[in-house]
Amino acid sequence: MSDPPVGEHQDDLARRALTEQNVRVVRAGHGANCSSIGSVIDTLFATATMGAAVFAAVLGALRKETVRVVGEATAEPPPPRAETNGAAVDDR
Amino acid sequence: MMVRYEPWGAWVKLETEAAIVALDRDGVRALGLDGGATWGASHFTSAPIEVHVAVTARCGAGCKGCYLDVQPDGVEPQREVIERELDAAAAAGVFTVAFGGGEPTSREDLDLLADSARARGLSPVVTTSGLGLSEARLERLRHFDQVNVSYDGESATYASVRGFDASAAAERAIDRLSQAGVRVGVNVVLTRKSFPVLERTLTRARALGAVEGQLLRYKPVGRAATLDYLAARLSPEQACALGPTLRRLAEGPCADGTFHVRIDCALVAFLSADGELAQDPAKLTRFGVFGCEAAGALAAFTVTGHVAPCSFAPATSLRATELSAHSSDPELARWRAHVDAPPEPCRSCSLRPVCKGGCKVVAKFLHGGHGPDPECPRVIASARSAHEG
Repeated sequence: MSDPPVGEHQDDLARRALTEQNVRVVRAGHGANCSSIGSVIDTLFATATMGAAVFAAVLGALRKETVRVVGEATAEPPPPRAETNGAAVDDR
Repeated sequence: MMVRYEPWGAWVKLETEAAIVALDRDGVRALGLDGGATWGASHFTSAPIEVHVAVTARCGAGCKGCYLDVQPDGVEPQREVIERELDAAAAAGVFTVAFGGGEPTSREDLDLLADSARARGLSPVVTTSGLGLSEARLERLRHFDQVNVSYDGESATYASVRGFDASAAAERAIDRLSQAGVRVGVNVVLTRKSFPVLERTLTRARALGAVEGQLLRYKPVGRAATLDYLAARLSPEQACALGPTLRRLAEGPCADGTFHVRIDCALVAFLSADGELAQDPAKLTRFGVFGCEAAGALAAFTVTGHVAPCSFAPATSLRATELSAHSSDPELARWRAHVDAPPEPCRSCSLRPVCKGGCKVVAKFLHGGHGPDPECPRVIASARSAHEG
């Protein structure tokens, strides 16, 4: 169920609190492959300055764009117990 | 921006930047939002963020390695059918739909399908061979956020991958799309013959106007599921050379930041041979590199209207129009369970959180089922060590 849009200006102050530390992942670009999911890789080898610029641009957009919530949270039963090795799983 | 709550915070798709961002809970609160039921759930299965939609099984190109074994007289779902699937994708919170097939441009309503996706808040992108790109087809492609043209290299290289040389047509398509202001990328299938000339291929694509090169691992599915696959796939030495090759590309065609290289999910396993990357999976994660996300962040809608873990995997019995039930489908759950608890040597691999066990499709073809990716350098080294020990 989609929430109503949040106004662009009402949260300006709160949004200024957003920092790079709040951004766990940035997946850059659109990609347009229809068979397997792709990820930009060259930015990993770019200079720290270029890498920082990617995050700075993202923060700028996060601070100004209008918000729309999408997707539905559906209740799920807990899964059956599975054998795991106790290692950390992806918590992205 | 579009925000989709996750247990750890939210995925955010930006509109003024071409990027998807994972924001932690504090970041989401700073947007004035609260994850509510999702943040309080004891168990949660994330919906895909990207869905690959086969909009036709019709294609006359006849590429020898076609992963869908499509034909000139393949089936083509009605637009209304696909639109109902797009409804389901939007309801689940999917961000991007990548149209493929078959040759998507063979549909005269392709622009309408792109518009339908956009009207539902989905970013439409598409892959084409570029063959037979008439003015009308080009106009339809203007409706997409990005168009990727299949381009494995110049003439002999292209022919080695596809079985015929249509590189000139692909190059014309890249050039014309770029001239028309369409954001265009290229899909490059990496084989034993295309890999050595990769930098030349991407440099050529960039000169023609491409802004992105998507590198694809060759996969033994469809018409490629033959013994010829063993001779066409990357050699073990080439797989180990992927990391250094990517560094060279970053310093070459990508150096000024106007052209980017993407690797597909199946190539991430090859980075296990790269000491620097393998020891820093957090860096890969931070820049959003995805390994095998089949049945996770990725799903596919087949031309028959079913959900598949990815485009290369067999369809499940789940209808695409019922994507919201993805968490309870047993086959999709089986794929996710393997990622959550893989056997060795994946279990102890530093890249595991990113790679997620390598390509299950390759493992199925070579070993008959889910298991460590047999072409992964670390898996090969582990097997050799066990044999010698």
